[in-house]
Amino acid sequence: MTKNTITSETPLALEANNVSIYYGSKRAVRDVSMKIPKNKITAFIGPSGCGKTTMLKCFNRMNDFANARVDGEIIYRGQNLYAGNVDAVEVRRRIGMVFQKPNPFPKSIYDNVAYGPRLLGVKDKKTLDEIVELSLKQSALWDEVKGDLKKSGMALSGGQQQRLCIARTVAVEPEVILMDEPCSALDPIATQRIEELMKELQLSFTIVIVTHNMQQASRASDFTGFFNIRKEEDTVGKENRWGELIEFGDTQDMFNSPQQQETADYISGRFG
Amino acid sequence: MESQLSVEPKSQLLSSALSRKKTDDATALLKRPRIGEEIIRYIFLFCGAISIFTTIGIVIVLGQESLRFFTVRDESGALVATLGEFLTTTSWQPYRGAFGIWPLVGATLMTSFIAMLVAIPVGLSAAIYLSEYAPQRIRATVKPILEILASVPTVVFGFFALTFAAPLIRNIVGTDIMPLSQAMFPAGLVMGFMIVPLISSVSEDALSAVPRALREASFGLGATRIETTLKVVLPAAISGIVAAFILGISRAVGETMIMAIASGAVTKLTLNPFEAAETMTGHIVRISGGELPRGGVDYNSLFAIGLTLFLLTLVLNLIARAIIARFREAY
Amino acid sequence: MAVNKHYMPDDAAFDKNMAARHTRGRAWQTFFMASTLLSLVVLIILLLSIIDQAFGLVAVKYDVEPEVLAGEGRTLNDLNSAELAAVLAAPYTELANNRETSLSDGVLRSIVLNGLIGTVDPARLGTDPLNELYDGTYTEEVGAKTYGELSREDVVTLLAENGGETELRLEILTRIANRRVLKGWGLFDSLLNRSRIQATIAAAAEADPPTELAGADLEFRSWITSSFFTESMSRQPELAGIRSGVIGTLWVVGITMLIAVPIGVGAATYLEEYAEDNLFNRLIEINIRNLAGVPSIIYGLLGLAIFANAFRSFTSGDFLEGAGGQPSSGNTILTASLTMALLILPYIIATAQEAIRAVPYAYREASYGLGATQWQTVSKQVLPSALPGIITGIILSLSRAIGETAPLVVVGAAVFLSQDPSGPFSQFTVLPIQIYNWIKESDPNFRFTASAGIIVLMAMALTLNSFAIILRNRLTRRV
Repeated sequence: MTKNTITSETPLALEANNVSIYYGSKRAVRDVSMKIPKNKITAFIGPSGCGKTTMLKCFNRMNDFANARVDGEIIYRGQNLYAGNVDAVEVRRRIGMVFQKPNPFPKSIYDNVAYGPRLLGVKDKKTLDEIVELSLKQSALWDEVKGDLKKSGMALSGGQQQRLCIARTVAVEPEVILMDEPCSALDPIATQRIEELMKELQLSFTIVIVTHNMQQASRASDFTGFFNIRKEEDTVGKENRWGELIEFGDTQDMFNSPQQQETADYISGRFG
Repeated sequence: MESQLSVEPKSQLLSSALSRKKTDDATALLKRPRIGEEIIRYIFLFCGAISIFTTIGIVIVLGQESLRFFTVRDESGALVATLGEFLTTTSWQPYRGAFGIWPLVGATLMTSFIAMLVAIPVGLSAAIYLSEYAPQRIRATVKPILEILASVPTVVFGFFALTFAAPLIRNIVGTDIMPLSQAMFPAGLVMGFMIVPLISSVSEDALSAVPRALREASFGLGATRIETTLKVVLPAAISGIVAAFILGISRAVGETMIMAIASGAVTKLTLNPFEAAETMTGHIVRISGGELPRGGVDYNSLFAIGLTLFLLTLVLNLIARAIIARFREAY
Repeated sequence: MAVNKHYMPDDAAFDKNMAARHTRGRAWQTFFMASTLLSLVVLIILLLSIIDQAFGLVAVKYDVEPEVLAGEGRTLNDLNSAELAAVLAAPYTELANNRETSLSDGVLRSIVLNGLIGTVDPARLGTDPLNELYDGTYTEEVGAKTYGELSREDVVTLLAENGGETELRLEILTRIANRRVLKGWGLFDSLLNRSRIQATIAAAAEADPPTELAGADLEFRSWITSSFFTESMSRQPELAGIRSGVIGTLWVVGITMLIAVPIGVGAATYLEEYAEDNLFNRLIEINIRNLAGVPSIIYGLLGLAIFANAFRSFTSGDFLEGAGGQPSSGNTILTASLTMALLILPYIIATAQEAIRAVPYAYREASYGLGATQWQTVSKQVLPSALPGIITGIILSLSRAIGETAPLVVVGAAVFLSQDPSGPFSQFTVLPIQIYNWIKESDPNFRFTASAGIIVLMAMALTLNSFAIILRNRLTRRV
């Protein structure tokens, strides 16, 4: 199995430089720096509350809705996404997201997938038909629904709904797809299908996935970042917690021979 | 693992459909002025702000016209009506120059009191029955009926009070006690039933907000249903229920048509509920029912009465909402 | 060592106490149930009392018996237009004093004017020939005459050819027969005490001198008739109708909705989707809650001072015609609608807010995640999903608006309308105000008219409410 390394030649999709995230005055994530390579699957793992989802949502500015303040830089295509003159709407078109609980719109399957392209101004029915078909094929849902695209998206099974959400996301042709625990609400068979799907999507997209399932991370990802919780008692005796990136590297390396003791402990199940 | 999925390479369909510049261009990420979004935001903001204009309008109009009322002078230069006279004297006879508010306020308070004598027990009982006792089937029938009661226009209640309730009460107490067909008692009584749905629904909300756990604890100790209701649930919901009562009073104070039709058209300060007496609201409607010359003393007096009414209901509503806010925090 | 001191009552005492507790419980339960029942009973009594006064026997008297006018063995309903026209022109004998008389030429011509020609500039009546005033069936000779030149025979032919049977019958009843309702009885009275009522009338005839009821006929009458809907104001209870009121209600409520719905939904959208949590926006929310508790009559005062008076040139329509001429009254439909719009705005906002809040956050999240702007998300996801709830709220506000009376009286509803409201700048009345005016009338027979009006009003409000409730149940089941 070839080892994954990040050199200065490796094409990067995203880069985080000394990123700290605050909710009000409370710090949630401290000083994270990482490089996300293109067309690879990068996984974030760690115990609950370690900030991995918070970190993920920075990459497409979804944290804005929680009024998060971000110090540091998130670089995408040479641009700091948190610069004052960057349009978050544009960012989200290029960096898509699949959520923990499948959330199709209360519309037909066709309209779910066509929603994004229509937003961007595509009106021609023939083009939309092509885009919908292609997207559903890319998310391995086409064969199951092609008979009735007018069926409501909410009438599908959990696993199908999540694939519909993936189809919806790829329809706007992003470069990066962020996935926030996409399988946590699904049964093992649906989970397996999504993991297979990820491998195929990787050919066209960069994937960053947050997962609490370590086996999934070690099976499916090329790179892994391990986050953990740090605590500290302040002057008045109140305990503050935040998340930090402990280790980042090739997945197999990390799981077979982690460099930090914490990582080893987490992976072996001693906590978390 | 051999993949069974058929994979398509990443498409360029969308980009070509939009004939967009290649997205490699970094400027594509920069903020663009979305004027449409800003305009829409301001339109919605304006809609929201209209309510503020309404309140300001009410305050200004009532204040300004009341001020005019208290500063207008007759031919001899004397003030026609003073604030002191307004608040302290007990006779309202405009053509005699008497402008004491107490007869009107008194009738308003009396009719509201009578209404509450009916609305509180009946409304609260209905709320308790529906919330603690009634099986689903009965709830499903009774609640819509209460909603129907709530949607009956007040003119209809006024008509009912005048043509059914008043004669009935007159037959019972005799024409010596109740000489006229208009009186505060039948008007207040009917108004009470009109308010029952309001008290019932707000009280029911308060009762439902009490956690099941409290009831279960009481039952677990061997209490009967009524003991649980009276000793556990009701005290826990008391602030919400008091708020319901206050809202009911406020509604009664502001009610117009029932009073205009059935309570009386004569301004009189009296404690006898079987006499006819005009309320604040009834008076405003009666005077403005004809053609009102703007600026006349009658016109201005309406606003002074309106201001009194507004302040009264405002205070009641604020108290009620403060109580509701406090009880919502408790759970 | 076990604790052997007992504080709890022993079995016998406990059972006795338990029985008492259960009895108390049942008593309370009965009380609660009875109270709840009481409100239902009152509602039923209310409805019955309204129905009771909308139908019943009436004692009617004529100056001339309609049957006499119709001829041997026939009633007026059997006659056609030609025969009815003939009756109008024929001489008749008044019952009371046995005097023979007939309608004058001028009166007959006025029937043509009111019934056929319609409203026209009085000056033209002297100059223009009939064929320019009225387009109907008549000979050329008649068409060439002016209004004043029409002879008695011309009138009869005109009415025979062009007059409607119902209208002609009504003319006969009012002008010749002079049908008057003297007294009415409620439905239950009429059904149960018919003989007693007949006795009362008989007694009136035998009194010395005979009282008013002597010689009256007893008829069963529904006070809701088709003419109730088509006729307008009248000084006689049995001729009064709700036409102006219904038209006015439709105009006022229509324009009110046009104003209040966009503003209300807009405000709700702002508060739920756009407003940050700052002082200004919290003030708006508190303000809206407070406005919902302001008595409706205060809105009437507001409307009177601002819309009817301060903005008079706007609400009266004068601003459209430019300066000059007599200033028109500001008590128009537009004033009424603006006032009502402010009144129901808090309710529309509250229900719309609830509907918008009920839309799952997941839809918004997915939409933003795909790169949609705020307006795109609101217009394509939030509002469409909230629409059914919003519509339910609108319909409920509508049914409330239909029954509102006090603020419209204050704002200047007309007591007597010469013409039906025809536009936003017309004087107006609405159905509940018409009912209120009838209730105030001294003639006790107007009670029946009021009841009939109430039935129509409640039918309107109830239909709308049921519609809204069905809609609401349909939605909650679908989700």
